[in-house]
Amino acid sequence: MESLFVRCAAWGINSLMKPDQRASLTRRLALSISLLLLAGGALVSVAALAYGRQAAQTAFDRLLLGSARQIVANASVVDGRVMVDIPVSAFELLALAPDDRVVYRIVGHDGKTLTGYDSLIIPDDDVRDVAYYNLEFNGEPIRVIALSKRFAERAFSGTIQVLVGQTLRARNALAQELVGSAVLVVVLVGASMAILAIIAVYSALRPLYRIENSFSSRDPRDLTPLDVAVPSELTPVVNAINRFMSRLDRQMETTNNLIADSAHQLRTPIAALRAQTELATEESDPKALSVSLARIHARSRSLSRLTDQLLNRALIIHRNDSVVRTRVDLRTVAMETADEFDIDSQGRARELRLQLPEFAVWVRGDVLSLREACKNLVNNAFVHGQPPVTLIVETIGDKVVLAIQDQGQGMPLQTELRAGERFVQADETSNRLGTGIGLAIVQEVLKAHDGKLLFSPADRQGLKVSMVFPGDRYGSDA
Amino acid sequence: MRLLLVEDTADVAEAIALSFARVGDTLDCAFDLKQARSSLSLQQYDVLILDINLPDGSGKDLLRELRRERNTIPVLMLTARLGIEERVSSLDGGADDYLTKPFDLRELQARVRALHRRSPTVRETFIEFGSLVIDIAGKTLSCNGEELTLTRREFSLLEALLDRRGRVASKEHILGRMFSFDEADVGTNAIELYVSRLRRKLSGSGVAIRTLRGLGYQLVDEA
Repeated sequence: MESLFVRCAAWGINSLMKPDQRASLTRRLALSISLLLLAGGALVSVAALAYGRQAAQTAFDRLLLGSARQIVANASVVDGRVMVDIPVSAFELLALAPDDRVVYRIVGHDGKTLTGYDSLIIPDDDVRDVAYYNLEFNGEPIRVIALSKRFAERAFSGTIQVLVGQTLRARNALAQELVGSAVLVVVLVGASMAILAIIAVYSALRPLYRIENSFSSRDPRDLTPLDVAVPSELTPVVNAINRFMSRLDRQMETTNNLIADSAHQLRTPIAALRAQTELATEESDPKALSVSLARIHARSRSLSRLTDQLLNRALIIHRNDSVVRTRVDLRTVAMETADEFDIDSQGRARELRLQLPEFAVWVRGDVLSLREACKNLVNNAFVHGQPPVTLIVETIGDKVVLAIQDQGQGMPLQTELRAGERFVQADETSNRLGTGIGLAIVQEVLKAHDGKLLFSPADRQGLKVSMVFPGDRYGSDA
Repeated sequence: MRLLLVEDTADVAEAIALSFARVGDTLDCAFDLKQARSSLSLQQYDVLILDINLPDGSGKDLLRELRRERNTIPVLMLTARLGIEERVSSLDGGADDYLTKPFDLRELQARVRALHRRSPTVRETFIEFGSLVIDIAGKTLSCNGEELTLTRREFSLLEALLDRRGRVASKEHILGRMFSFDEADVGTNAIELYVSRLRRKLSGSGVAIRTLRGLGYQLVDEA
């Protein structure tokens, strides 16, 4: 029985310490509360039992003592002999327990019974003033008091002993009554605690149901933050959900923008292309045909550049949110960009120069995004400026710089201020290539890298466009 | 030039073939890896133009096979993938250059020709760089008309730097040009020695060799 209880408790404690992550909260709480109630109830019951017995013992022992004292008080020496006149009142108090039997014996100084049951024998002969014994009499347990009285008179000198015993029925009944009411109190308190616990669990979990309701009743495309009042313990959860949704929202918005942009930007050149091809198929004049074909070729080239940029912009926005930053040597970015620009679409070598420092110039970032930004600036330099174009990597204070310098006329101030907004073209009236997406990509990359774009006049002539990044402090080694 | 094009899109392949034929080059077309392998085993090509996505596998596998067999044919990869990550993996796989689709035929021709020029079998005969005139065939170097004498190793170092003039020549590239395969255990430290010797000989010419730590060397005209 006991070992079973111990095993149950061990299992319960174990499952509390290492809870199964998917176990119901209600069950976990119910388990811990019932363990608490069981252990507490057992403790209180044991205590009540001990206390009840003790209280009943003390009360009835006093009655025994009173009765024995009355007998002793009535003992006297007459003519050198001990005379005991047992008063009726001595047993009146004991008679308050009607079901119990009372026995007595008075032992003289020589150990002989003066009066009472001979068979009432106390286990030791030591002569204490007052002593209590638990004995058995006629097969029934009894409580016995032994009270001594010493006579020191000329006629008689010695000690007599008064033994009074009583069966235990009334005192057991009292003990049981005391224990019973204590246990009743424990049960009542336990039950009310359980009810309170259930209410507490229910009210603690209610905010979760509120969150659930808020989710199930919202529109699938609604990614606005949750507006549900929750207790402070749940605030981090709700905040995490809201952060996640805002990221999702940003990505959706990006995708939507991209689709809108792409539709807008792709349809026009495709329409032109179709119209031109249709015209060309019906053209019989070889001169007009070749003009038409040249136009188609130019259109298809700008279309492919546009597709590239739209896709790359989407890629970069996606990477800004998702790619882990590493240490990147800006010289490598410049080198790899230069490799892609060494030959132009006409097959001619381009005048592109590299001006790199001897030691590595570290920045924390995504190498692909940085290269894409650099490519767009170099492309702009070739389209809007004059070669030779120089790629410069330098360190200025705690900033690192990747700059593109050309020998052209520079940039009108108005365009400079708006540079980087989508669809802002260098010269809106000109027919030259330029979708405005290039600088938008550059701005996205700079934003993700805490960088800035600076336009400044180049040394002698032309424009120097600098991407300025915070240097990677931990990467200053060679 | 004799070229092999591995490309499965018929009209793209046809356009490329015609454009090379117009300037007098011979271009064979393979539409998958199987045809490409048999063509390569039958014929010696100057440059291989290799698409990545092919019906029976990836062009990168063929490239890896070739390089494992120590075939040093210059390879230009064509890719239509988004993202330039492809670039890194294909260049690591042993490609010499790459071009993203869509591209202009003239740019393709120029890149193929540049690869061909760089390959060890065919070289430009004269290169001018700053005040230097380099006669590749005659292995002589002159500065402002004055002849400078270089050892064989120094000259191949100069050639390696000239391959990448205006760009950066990596130590690996230089090592590959200066030493043959059986001398491969020559460390990159040896390069530093030759660079300092060549630097001394070029002093006063206005042409300098810049050291870019961690990247390689760059030949620059400082005049």
